Amino acid sequence: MKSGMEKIDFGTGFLLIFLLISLGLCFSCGVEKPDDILEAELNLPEEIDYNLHVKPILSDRCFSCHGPDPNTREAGLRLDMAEGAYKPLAENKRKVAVSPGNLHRSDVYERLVSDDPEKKMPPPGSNLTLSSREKAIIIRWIEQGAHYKPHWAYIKPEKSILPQVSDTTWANNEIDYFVMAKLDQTNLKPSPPAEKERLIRRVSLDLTGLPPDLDLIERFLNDTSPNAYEKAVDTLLASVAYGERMALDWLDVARYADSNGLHADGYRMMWPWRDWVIEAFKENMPYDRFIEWQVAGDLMSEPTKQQVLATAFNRNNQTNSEAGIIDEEYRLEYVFDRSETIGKAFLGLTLDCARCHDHKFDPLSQKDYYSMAAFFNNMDELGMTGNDGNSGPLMLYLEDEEERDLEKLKDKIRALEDEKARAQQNFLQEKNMDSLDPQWFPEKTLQKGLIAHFNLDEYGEGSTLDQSGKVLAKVKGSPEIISSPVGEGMRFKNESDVLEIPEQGLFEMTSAFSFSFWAKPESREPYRSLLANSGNKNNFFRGYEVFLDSTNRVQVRIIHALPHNCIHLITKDPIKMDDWSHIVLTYDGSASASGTQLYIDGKPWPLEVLVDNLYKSILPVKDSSGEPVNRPLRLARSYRLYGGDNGIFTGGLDELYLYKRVLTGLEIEELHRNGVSSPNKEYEPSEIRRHLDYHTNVEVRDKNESLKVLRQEQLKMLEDKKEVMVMKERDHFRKTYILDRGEYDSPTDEVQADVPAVLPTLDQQWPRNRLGLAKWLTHPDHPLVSRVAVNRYWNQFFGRGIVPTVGDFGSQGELPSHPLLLDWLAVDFVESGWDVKALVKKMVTSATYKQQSLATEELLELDPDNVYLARGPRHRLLGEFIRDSYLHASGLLEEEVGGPSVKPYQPEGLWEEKGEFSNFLLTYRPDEGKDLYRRSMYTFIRRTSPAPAMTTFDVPERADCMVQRQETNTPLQPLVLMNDPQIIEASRALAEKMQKEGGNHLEDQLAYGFRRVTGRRPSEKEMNIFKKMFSEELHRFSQNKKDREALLNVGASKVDRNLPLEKTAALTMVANIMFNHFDFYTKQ
Amino acid sequence: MSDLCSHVNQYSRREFLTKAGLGIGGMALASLVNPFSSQALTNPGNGILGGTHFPPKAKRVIYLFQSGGPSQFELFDFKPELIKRTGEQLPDSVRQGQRLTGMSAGQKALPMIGSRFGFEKRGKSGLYISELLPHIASISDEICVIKSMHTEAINHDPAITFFQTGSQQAGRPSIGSWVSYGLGSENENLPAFCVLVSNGRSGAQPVYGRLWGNGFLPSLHQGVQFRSGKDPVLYLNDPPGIGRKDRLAYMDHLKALYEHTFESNPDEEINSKIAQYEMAYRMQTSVPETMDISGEPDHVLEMYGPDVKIPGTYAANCLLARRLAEKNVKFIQLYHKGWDQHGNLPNDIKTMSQSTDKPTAGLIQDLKQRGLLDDTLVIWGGEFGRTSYSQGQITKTTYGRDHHPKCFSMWMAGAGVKKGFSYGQTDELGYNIIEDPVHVHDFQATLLHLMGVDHERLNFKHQGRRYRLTDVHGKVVEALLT
Repeated sequence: MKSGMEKIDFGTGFLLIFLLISLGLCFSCGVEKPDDILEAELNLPEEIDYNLHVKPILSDRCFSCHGPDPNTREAGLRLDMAEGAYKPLAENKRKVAVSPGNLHRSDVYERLVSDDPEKKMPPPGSNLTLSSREKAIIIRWIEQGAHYKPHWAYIKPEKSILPQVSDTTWANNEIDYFVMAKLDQTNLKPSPPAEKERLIRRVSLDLTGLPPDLDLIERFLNDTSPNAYEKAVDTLLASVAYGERMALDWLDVARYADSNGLHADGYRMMWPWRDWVIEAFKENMPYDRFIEWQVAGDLMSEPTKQQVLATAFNRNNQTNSEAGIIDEEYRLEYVFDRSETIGKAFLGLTLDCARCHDHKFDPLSQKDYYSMAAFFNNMDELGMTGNDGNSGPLMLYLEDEEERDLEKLKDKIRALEDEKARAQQNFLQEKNMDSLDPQWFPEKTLQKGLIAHFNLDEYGEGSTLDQSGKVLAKVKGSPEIISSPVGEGMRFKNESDVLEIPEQGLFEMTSAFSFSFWAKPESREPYRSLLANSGNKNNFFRGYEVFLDSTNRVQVRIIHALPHNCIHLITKDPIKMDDWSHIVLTYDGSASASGTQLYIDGKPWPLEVLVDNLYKSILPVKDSSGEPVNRPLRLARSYRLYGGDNGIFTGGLDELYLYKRVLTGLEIEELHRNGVSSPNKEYEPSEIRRHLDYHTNVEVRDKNESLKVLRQEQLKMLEDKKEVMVMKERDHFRKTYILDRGEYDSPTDEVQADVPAVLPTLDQQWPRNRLGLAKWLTHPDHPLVSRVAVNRYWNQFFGRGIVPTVGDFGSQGELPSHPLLLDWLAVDFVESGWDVKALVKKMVTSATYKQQSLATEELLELDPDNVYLARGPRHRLLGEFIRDSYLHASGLLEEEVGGPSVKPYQPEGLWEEKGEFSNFLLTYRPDEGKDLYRRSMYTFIRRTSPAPAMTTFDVPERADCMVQRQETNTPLQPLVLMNDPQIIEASRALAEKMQKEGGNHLEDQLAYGFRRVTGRRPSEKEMNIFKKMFSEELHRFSQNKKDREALLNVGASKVDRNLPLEKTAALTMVANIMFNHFDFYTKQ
Repeated sequence: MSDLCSHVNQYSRREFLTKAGLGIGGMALASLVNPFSSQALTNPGNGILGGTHFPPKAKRVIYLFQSGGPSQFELFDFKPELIKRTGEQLPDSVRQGQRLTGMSAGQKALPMIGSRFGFEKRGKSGLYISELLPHIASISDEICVIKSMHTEAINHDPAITFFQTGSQQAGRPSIGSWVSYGLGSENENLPAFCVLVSNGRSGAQPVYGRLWGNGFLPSLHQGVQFRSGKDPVLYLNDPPGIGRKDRLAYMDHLKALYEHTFESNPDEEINSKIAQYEMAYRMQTSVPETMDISGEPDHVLEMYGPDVKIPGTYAANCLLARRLAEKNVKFIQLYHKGWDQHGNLPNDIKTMSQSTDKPTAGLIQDLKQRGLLDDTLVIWGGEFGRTSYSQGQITKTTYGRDHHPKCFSMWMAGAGVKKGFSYGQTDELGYNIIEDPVHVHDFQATLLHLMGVDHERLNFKHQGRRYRLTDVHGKVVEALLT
């Protein structure tokens, strides 16, 4: 790679080197070139480089038909690799597309210069053309031997020696050698260093997103020591604000938001992850660890809370709650979003193009795409989520103290469970009881704890009564009465036949309960609900349900939230089709799979545990607001409604019993026996003991009571604890397939989790999961990860990446302007232990960074976009930093770090007009007090309705991974800076501050205010403008009290009425014009 | 690297500005179009294309989006056979395993249901239009109905996103953004792409800011929402206590400041910024003027129906759309929410029809009487159609319809489209298209074509790929054009 890179650099002289035409002619014997080509050849570099000159043209204009994707390849010709280009043409075996050194034999040449629409390339229909210069480049490249080279970005970077430069005194550090070398080549000279006042403001805005405090400015201006600047930089790097500023960039990459994004776009809570990011930057976590934790923290051995929390990175994708969507389709969308984000964030690759077909420009196949996706496909999650709320897997995010309390309580529970088990053991062993006293006959004990018994023999007027005559069930539709093993039962024919029992079965997860009934299934849909009060997507299916799957196996779910916070069991064997089975579910209130049992035909049935992780309430609620609802217990149909699986059961049901306790084996046998009428009752001695233990062991009963109290305590403790969406592998491995055209329902070949073939392979020793992926990404030899990171930070400070297409290091991306510098920085970054602060410091302490940013006319002419860095960076501030800066200048800024997102002022009605599917985000209610003045990165981000003043300044809506923001200039921006109530309030606060802190004279006050706003003193002319404006405004506001009051009353903060109000009002307008000064919102 | 540099040179924004010699305040228009797309600067005042590809029929578009998916059966696609066979099961041979939404996928029975509202042949053209839309029926000779629209999405969010951006996944630029990017603005005081969201009904499907978002195009091209109420464009109003005269004085001071700043800090960006301030200032006048309908005579207001006087209603927005069209705004996007009739369709669609009927017809007539209909394209339609079978049971009073992507109706009127014309056919049960299908991408291609733009030649390179509104699809439906 090294030599390749040096070659690239070699040919990059800015001054064009004119070539002797004869050289070209010699190579192209016998070919007469058109005039425009000959003319263009005059201005070509001497040596044509494939990566630098040719590939950008071929990739952009040719590869979509003659590139890596075989499906769209025309004429069997492939131009992205030598073997494709050099081999005989499919249509004319005597010719080749490219014959190195021989134009005459190269079909490409003929097609480049042809005017014949049939022959010409690119064909007229493609709407693509080549300029004469571009043609000349390809022609000369062929003449020079048509050498292909591997794509620069896929080869491991290496540190080159520092180049020779014309002036060694200029350089501050290594960066400057590379920059100067390039300036030397292009005959440019660096600009003088920026004035100290400008420089401290620039670096403060860059490192903290805030202007420097006046005392930092003073200190810096008065510090004449040679390392004064370095000291200032260290101060800034050590601040929390640095962590916040660096985190903001990562929040764009990670598409962090406070809402779900699609359709209802309801509330989600992910801010603990955001705070983790801030902390990580503040503490200067090594970048490799930063990646590892976020990609695979949950898979590390005995992961800490923070490591699991970090994986929320991969859960920041948008989710959809729209009723009617296909769950699997969207689940896969989330999987794809994750791998595409990894591609863009760490690899600078646009993987998404390869979802439907092999990539047209880069050597990424569809197989690569799905192999990458496979890393993220092994998680249980909902495709259709709730309108509001986080969807699993979640992690309980407890404070350390809470965690300790919880552990203590759990210990107590475990101890009590052990005691109970011992008491039970003693009872079963010691007491010699193999016969049953009549008072304990199961038919008698079955009267205990009975809530209701419906024999389902008949109904009338849409209802039926239970045997006690006290409990009523509603019968909807018209179930048929059919015969069953226990007399008559009901046959449910279709979706309109349902039985509902109001007010019953509302159990908490700490309560024991049992159900017994007979069922005879008739059809084989994948999800048939036998009995349930489990809700719908908007409460994450809270409740419990017993249902049949397509194989007729019985499944039980006791749910706080699907898919993670529940007990989920499945019988190993199916029940019979078109025949009656007796089904009993018992649950002991222990919130564990072991306390949940299914009995089929009187016998405990072997079960497989799918999920055993219930820790919150199962009582039915209306939606994610948690409002309780008395949802009737339902037979033969679920409450799911929206997902296409309404859980319609067709077939017979009979003899339903509800108990508020666990049933014993004898009792279950007895309930079953009623249907098979066996006359002699022989009981197993061990069952008798268990039966007696349950009914007569007082010690166990007492322990159970105490256990229940403790479990209720635990439930209460966790009730409203924060939970964050995180990554979690499922136990049952899920296969991944290539999807035809990317459609969820068109799987073709199975693939294994793997990285793109063109990049280094996964080490055999690494696990083939996200942990292996993380190790791969952070391997010191990885060609892309360090380059991409270094380039993104460069872009952050210089406003333009060394590779300007920050998210695309592939064929279609732009080439690095300073390839050797990029590689040097990338390698150095890895060698430093991925030390982000050191990297940042190197950048901002370079002489390159410290230059003046104003372009001379000559520079504008020669290098308008500052590619060669003959001047410092100059850019409009990010939207967040504009607001932060004016709040800072006015003294209103509340510098509290982290916590729940906040809601500053926003025009009314913006949320309502978008829709009303989210309960939590129906109306935007601004916060009160200090939360109105927090840094803008804490402003609540609702993706479909982001804060408008921010959006106006190009703050993204965080729909997907973004590595580079736009910088636009629109008329809506001045409207915000002149009229947003927040800036008017800040103007007033600054007006007050000027009077209180700026001295006694107007001029001093104005100068003080201006300095807070721009970091410098006003010029004489500026001062005159401010004074003139002040006197006009003062005159007006002295006369017009109404206007004065109206202006001063903007915003929630208190007006200082001890100050002369007309003066405050006048200064408010002056302060506001200061906030509209170019020097305020521009980093220079 | 000389290549890269000369490329940049060629299109340098600053270079252009320098050469064009535009001084302070002279560049509002250039910047409005697309200050950051360098190529655009070769055509100040126009978009990236520097003019249309061919002479446009439509100078502007008013797109009346009926969000939620209006039922074609009750409005435009008269199906006597379906009415006859109401209650019968939808034959499997017709459905052909077609994917249903999650909402009716669980339904065992799919009973067909015909419209309970009558149809008549209207006007000279004899188009069938439902009794629910008497006013639109009265202008039937102006409209061009497409009965053979079809889409790929079956749920609201992806479907409306697809219609408005050409992709089901969020994040691409909307039609209006493409138009603004391609053609620029013809009004110095208003944005090229304006959006009006009508007050929704309870339970209506949401609309999202990204539907008029700029996606990866420069954010200058995002739709600017005009809202009812006192602040029609966000942050347009001066703060309390500041009048227009005061703002003018403020602008003078600001200009003096910028001129002075430019002297000591000659950065062209400073000029470009002050130009935006001037445009902002002009918008502060022009937007309220546009929103102020007090000068509209009664006979005009009457055309739009009584709701026209209630700000934020669809009727009021139709009138505003005309006023924006008069000012040459290029793309005027309306949203009318509430067409999602899964159940209780007969009652619900009656209400919705009433709310859309008169204002829409009024808008067409009003444009016509001003001569604006000749070069304004009006579009009426939703994101998909509805099923020919009932969602839920059919009762005496009610029935419902689920989403249906395979066929639905929408219509256009005005510039360049045939009048009193019906295009495309669905089968007798209204389930499949049997003649002249029009895909969403075809519709988008046709729309751009009417504006003089070849949809294959309006693209934007992003993430290494050239994107366009119609992805790699779309054919102009020539048969609709005059």
